[in-house]
Amino acid sequence: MSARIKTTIIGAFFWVGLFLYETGQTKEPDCPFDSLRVAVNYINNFNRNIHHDFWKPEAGLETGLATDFYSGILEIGGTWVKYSARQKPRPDYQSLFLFVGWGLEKKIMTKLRGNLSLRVGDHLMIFDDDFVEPEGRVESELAVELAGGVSLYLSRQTALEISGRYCRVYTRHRLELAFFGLGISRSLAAPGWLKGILR
Amino acid sequence: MNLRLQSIFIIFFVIVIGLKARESPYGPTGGRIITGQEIREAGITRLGDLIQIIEEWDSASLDGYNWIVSPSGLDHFQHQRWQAAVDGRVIDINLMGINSLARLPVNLNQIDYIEIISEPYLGEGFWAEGGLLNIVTRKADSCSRISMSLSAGNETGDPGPYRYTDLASPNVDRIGWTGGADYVFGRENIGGRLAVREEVNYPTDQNLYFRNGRIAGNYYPRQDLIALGGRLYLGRGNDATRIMVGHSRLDDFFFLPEFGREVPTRLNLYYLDIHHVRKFREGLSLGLFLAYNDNGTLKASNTLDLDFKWRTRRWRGGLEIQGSGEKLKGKAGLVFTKDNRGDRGDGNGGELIIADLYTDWKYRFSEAFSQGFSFGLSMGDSDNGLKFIGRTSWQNRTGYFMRLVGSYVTPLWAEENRLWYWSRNGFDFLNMDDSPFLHNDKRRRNTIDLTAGGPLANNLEFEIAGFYRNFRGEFYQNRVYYFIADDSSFGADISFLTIDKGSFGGVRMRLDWRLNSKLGLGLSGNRQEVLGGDSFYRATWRNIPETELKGRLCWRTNDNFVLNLSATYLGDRYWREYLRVEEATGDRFHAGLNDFWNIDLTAQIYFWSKKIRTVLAFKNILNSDIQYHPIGAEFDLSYFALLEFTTAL
Repeated sequence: MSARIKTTIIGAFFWVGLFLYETGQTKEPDCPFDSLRVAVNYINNFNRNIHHDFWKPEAGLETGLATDFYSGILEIGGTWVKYSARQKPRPDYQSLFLFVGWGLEKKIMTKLRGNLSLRVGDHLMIFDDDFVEPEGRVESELAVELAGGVSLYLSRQTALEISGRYCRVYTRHRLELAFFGLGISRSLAAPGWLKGILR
Repeated sequence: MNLRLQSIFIIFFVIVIGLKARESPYGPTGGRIITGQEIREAGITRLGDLIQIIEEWDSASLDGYNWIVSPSGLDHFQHQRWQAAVDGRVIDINLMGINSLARLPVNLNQIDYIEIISEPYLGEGFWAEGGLLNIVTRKADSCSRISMSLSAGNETGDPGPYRYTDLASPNVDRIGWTGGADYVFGRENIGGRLAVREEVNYPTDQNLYFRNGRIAGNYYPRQDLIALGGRLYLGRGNDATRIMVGHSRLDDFFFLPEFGREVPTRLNLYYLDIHHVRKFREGLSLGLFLAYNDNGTLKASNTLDLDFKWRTRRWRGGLEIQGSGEKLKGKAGLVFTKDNRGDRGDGNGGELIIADLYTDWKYRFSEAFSQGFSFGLSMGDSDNGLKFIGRTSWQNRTGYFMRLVGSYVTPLWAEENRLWYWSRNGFDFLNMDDSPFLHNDKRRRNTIDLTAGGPLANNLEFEIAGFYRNFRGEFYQNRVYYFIADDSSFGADISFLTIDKGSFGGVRMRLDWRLNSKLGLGLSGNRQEVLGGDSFYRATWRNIPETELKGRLCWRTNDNFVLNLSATYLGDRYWREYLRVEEATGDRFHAGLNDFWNIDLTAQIYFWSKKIRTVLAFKNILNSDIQYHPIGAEFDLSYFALLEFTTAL
């Protein structure tokens, strides 16, 4: 069995196990989509591999919206990072990862909560048009990201977030990107009209 | 198959769950039912992909859009005698021996259920000896409903930023999109539906790209389907009338096996079906029907300048009388079919009239035991055909059942005429030697299907089936494909062979478990092989996998959120006809196709009181090397998204 299949099966078991644990342990929320949490994070790509031999990552930004789901937490969001070419005429590019995710959040201490989520989405790569033909300016590919972190609640609604992410983009030669994130989040009650649409 | 993978598969599905049996998976005609809900939860976004979730049917495809089928051994991939029906009315989608289900003008979200019949069957005025897929549409009871949907997909493996480095690789084909809208209405005595759909697919996998790109000339290869369909139901007193009308137009890269490669062409389908039933008294009725089917191709621009112009027009009309008493139920009918085949616009198409006389009876000896049979006589083209199906069924009060179906068929030559007409009507580039086929008068087929099952426990339903097919005097094409290096395409040397005797058989098993209202599990397995026949016959049937396993794990919350995980194992296959191609191309194209595991994951979420349905589906999450045809596409990890809006008016 190839290492890839082993890794995938182990990963699948992990997620299915976690999912079954969660569905077995947690009572369904009476009111999914009752609350919203808006988060903004500064992110930094810290790992190095062959991709980084060609491009140098700059600072990035992530925004997201999370809400209680029928089980666990549902989130949507986007991550933006700029990569500068180390050698011209190779183009610079900006990546925009638009994702939907599902995860779990658990209380660790009174003001500290931990979270873990799996995100999937479209990883858009927008190349610098000075070097690229118009039809090759935008590429998109499936990406999967594992994100985890802790939230320190400064008040009932506001929390400081420290997180890590591992993102894999399914290009022919996979892009493997690891990020560190630091940000802030704020919880809100979902407006009635929005709950009506989501439920 | 890798033993460890097998073990993991079995342990995974057996440990995790136990479940309550679902309702009987069989409909009143004996066909297996796959509900619309199951279809939607499986993440199906295109009509043609329905073929892939039919466990007992084997299928293969070059482009992932058009599929050839072997329905439980009733037919080989070469023949495609299976039929498609909508609401019980058969529609002729077979063009030059290829059935493309996508051409039916029915939208996926209109489907109430599909019925799979994998044994010879007598329907409403038609015989389906090669299997039947019947799409039953939803009815609207005293309301009107409108819905719109849009879906699209993408396949992974693009070069991404490495396109601008030494690691550059070719761009991977795009998966197209599907958009549809439909309207359903129902009142006391009138009801109906309307549907429009467009599908776009790109047959541009690296295995197809060069030959399709070259023959397409100056445009990027693309398959584009537009389908429009409607149904009207009128009922008053003892009279009921159903009218179905439809049209589809598919700009296709049509793979003609006799030619060996895809050719751009436009496939047109028009049909009209009027069915009227008059009830004389309780248990006695008369049905009359008239149907028109116009099925053809038009020449599309291609660099080889091949003219695929071809048209089949079919008129069918008939009457059927039905009666039922306390224990006895029966029907008898007479149907006339007039075909104009092979009309290339010059008025020289062959004309053929077939008369079918048939009867069907079922007698219930007791609450548990019944016996039925269908008998038919076909006459046409100075030839006679005979059809017989016998059915014995037993079912006790606890739900255990056993069903035995046997059939004997001597078909008309005319019913097999799709091939030899072509070479007679201007398709001389095919250059087929059809003389052995034309002199064959020993053709007959026998089938036996034995199915038994029942509840093994309160929450566990079990079924096992065995099937046997015996073919005598069956024609086959001896296809030898060769590689044309100039444009990476293929050519074919074709000759007809008649097989004196050949047989095929296998067993199927299915388990359905349900633990509670949230978790469901289905497991099924097929094992089949050639039981008799010469070396040509045996080698030809190795196109079809001997082993197939499927598993489906479904988790529902309150119907608003459903996760569906399905796993498929397909055994290895061998296409001897591509041996010369393999020798010529080295490592590029192989006559043998490896076994593979395919795992799909689908999430479906409803919003806004079920007005909005969203689906996110991942196909082949293991990114296995999946290939269904030696010169066909390789299907890597892909993802699909669907958005559907439905509202009552």
